[in-house]
Amino acid sequence: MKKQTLHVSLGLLAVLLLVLIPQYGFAAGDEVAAVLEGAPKPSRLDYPMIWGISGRTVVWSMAQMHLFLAAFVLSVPLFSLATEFMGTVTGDDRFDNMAHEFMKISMAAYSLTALVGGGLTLSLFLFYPQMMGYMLKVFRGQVLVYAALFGFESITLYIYYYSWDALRRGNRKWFHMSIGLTLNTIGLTLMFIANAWATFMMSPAGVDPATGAVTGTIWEVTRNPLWNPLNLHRFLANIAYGGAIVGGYAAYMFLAEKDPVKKAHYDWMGYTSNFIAILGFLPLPFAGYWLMAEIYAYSQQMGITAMGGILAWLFIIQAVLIGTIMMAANYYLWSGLMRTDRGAHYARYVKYIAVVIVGGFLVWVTPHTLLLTSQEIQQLGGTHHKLLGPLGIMPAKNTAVNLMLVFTFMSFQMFYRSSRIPTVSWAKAGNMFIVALYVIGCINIVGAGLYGYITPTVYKVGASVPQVVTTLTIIIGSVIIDVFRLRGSKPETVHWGRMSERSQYALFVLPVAFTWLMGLMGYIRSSLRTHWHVYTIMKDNSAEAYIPTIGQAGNTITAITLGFMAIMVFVFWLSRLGATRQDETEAPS
Amino acid sequence: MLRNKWLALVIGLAFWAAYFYFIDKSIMEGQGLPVAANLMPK
Amino acid sequence: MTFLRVVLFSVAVLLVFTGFANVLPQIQSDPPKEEIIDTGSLDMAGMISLGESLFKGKGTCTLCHNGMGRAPDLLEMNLAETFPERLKDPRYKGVAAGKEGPKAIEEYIHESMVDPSAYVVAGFGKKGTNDTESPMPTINKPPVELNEIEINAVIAFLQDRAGIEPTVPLPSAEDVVVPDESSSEGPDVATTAEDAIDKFGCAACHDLFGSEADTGPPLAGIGKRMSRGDLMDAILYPNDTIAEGYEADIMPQDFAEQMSASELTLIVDYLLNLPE
Repeated sequence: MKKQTLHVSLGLLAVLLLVLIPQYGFAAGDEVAAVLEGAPKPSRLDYPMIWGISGRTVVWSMAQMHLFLAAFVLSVPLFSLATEFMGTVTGDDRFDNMAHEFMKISMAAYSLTALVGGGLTLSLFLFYPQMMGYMLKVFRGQVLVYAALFGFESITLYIYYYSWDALRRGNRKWFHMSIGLTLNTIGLTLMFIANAWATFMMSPAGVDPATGAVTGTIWEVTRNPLWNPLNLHRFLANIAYGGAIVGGYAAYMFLAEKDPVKKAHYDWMGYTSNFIAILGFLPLPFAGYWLMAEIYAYSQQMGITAMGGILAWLFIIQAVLIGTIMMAANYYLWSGLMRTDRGAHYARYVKYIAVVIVGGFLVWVTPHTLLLTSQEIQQLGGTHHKLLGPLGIMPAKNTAVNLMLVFTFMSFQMFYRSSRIPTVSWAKAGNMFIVALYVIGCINIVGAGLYGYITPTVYKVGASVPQVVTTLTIIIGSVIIDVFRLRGSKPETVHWGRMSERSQYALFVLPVAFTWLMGLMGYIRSSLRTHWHVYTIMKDNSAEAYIPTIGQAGNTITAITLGFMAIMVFVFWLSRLGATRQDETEAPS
Repeated sequence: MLRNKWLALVIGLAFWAAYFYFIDKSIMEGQGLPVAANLMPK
Repeated sequence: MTFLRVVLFSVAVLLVFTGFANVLPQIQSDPPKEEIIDTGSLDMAGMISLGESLFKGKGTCTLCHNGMGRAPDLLEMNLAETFPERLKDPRYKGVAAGKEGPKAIEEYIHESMVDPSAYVVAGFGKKGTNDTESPMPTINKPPVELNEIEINAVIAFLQDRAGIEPTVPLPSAEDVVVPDESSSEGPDVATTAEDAIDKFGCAACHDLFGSEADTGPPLAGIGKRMSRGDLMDAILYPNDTIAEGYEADIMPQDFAEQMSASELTLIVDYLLNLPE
């Protein structure tokens, strides 16, 4: 027990060092002398032309591919550790086996991440030498810290994976989990550093606004206004993304396996990863909202470019994608009700939830301000449609998204209830208390939406806060009540593997939609800088400084996604290959 | 009392209505947006 | 077999997303062109036209100054009444405080652009600052970066909208904007009137260069019928005045965004000198 405490505290110490006193992690190698030279002003000729290759497309593809892979290899250890912990607490070996299998999948992806990262660095220096020169001048020694951390990340990753069976039981398990904690701390720090580079380009800090000369420390540059919102957003999205990809893997294995025992294992794995994906996904809109609010606070101009300018259409696509993800996740949860005999009892509510989800989705995709041709404006009699106009504005959209989240949570709640029979005497009364919470909560969300609709703009924004709080209250409140309600409940047999083949396709929709959505959001985030390398500091004077059309962007994102899918198939195939053993009796011909 | 589910529903409705009323009011006022009646658009 | 089905399904989902992205309106956003102002030939009507196109285009003013309540709707409100009221507002302590008349209004507008927080109209400040801080970007700084001539043009436009004779100075030869070396290689800007007219395809509808096209009104001798300013307006906002017997909505509405100021000047100069 003492040993265990020691290891945990060692792990915590590492976290403290890197997180609580970030100045040490980030400011290492900082030179006191400020670099007083301003940002370079490259002319078009300073951007190398190499065989007519579109430099931006190369950098775009490399960066996006690196981000896909990195998000995957960062998130897998994260929930691998969580699953390992669950396995230790519950004593259920299935968790531990699954965590090990997760790690096996991510091992091959890890070296590919580094490879693509190298390719990205090379192409950046090749096509944007002046910009990279300036970035190095701004971030100085932090680049070396990044490289060193990357080395540590590799070492801890290999130790974590290869010591799995050696440190599997008892106190050794805690030691193993401390390694996992260190691994995740380093991994997250790596991501936070890379985020600082991306957000510096959007909201530069620590440099002279007129010339771009470096005036602040590395820490001041790192802690620019958009850094923390992006950190949170990417952290949550990584969890959701990793869960979705492993879910896709499990779904494929479920479809491919014939053995009922293995089928049951992969069904359970698919369910668990889907659960992790939804868990990461539910708070994501709020993190996105914070990021957007910070963008507005940093520069109203940039905020409006995103939400009201030419990029506004992209949020329509985003809404379609998120709607697709929600509907797929809900469909999967509903199919899961069939795993228990009790589930059928809940299945009758599914159609009502479906109505709310689809209805909310439709409100959400109703655009508000459209870029219309003058003919279209004449036909509509104004830029806003008379009937659909009110549905397009923020209060209606906020109401819709909050209701969708509440009802997605309800699907999930139905599912976990379907496998437990409560035994406490107040079970029915407790349930009614939760019903009351849902009813009043939904009225409150709709009411706040109406209130936002009839009041001036500041109130519209203000009224969205109670809505979010209501959604969170419903989720947290009913979880707390249910925890007590289901104390000492009788578990109902869950027939893992009793799942339709069709439901597995919902698990493929998730990673495909997530991947494409991430590509789209990356395009939006980069486009917000418009024709600047570093917003308001360093102009992009290359021939490709324009924002491409949605169609062009969509085609590029699809091509990158297809490439990523091909890599994932290869990675999965590799991990299967490692487990295949040639029969010894098979003689060479 | 805790066994009567309809009573629990009524208590629940009243409790959550009061809860959300105070939460909403305090959030709006916390943002410097007093909840007044004369906000209707002209 | 399963593998193939899964791959086909995933690709199909991807294609739906891609297809959706391709059916939405396709707009490419180019970096703003550096306006090269031919300072010798710009009169006040030209300044007002230029100001209007800057207000709606490069200046990005209409992103917020519109009917959505983010900032005062300068294109709709009664500016003739508003400007004097603002000058008299006891909260206003800027450069034009206590003054009256067109010149004071010019100073007031200029200050509001280069130092937006000097005075914030009640209700339009950043949240939580009690109207002491403006959310508006400083107009002569990045990312908007209008130069002094362009700012004057916007002032001229706003003064004109308030029914005041603009008081801003016309650009003189000394003010010639020397474009940055770095930015002069922007999109091709026509340098002769013929090139400019070609570029915007005017001859497709108007009888120019002997095209004998009659979709748009004839332009021969237009210099005798229209003033310089009216002609600029007619190019930038064609629907405002439609020649008898011709239809609205035929001529493109977006020349204000498409043309550089130098191209507009070239075209107008050329048209004004067309013989009858």
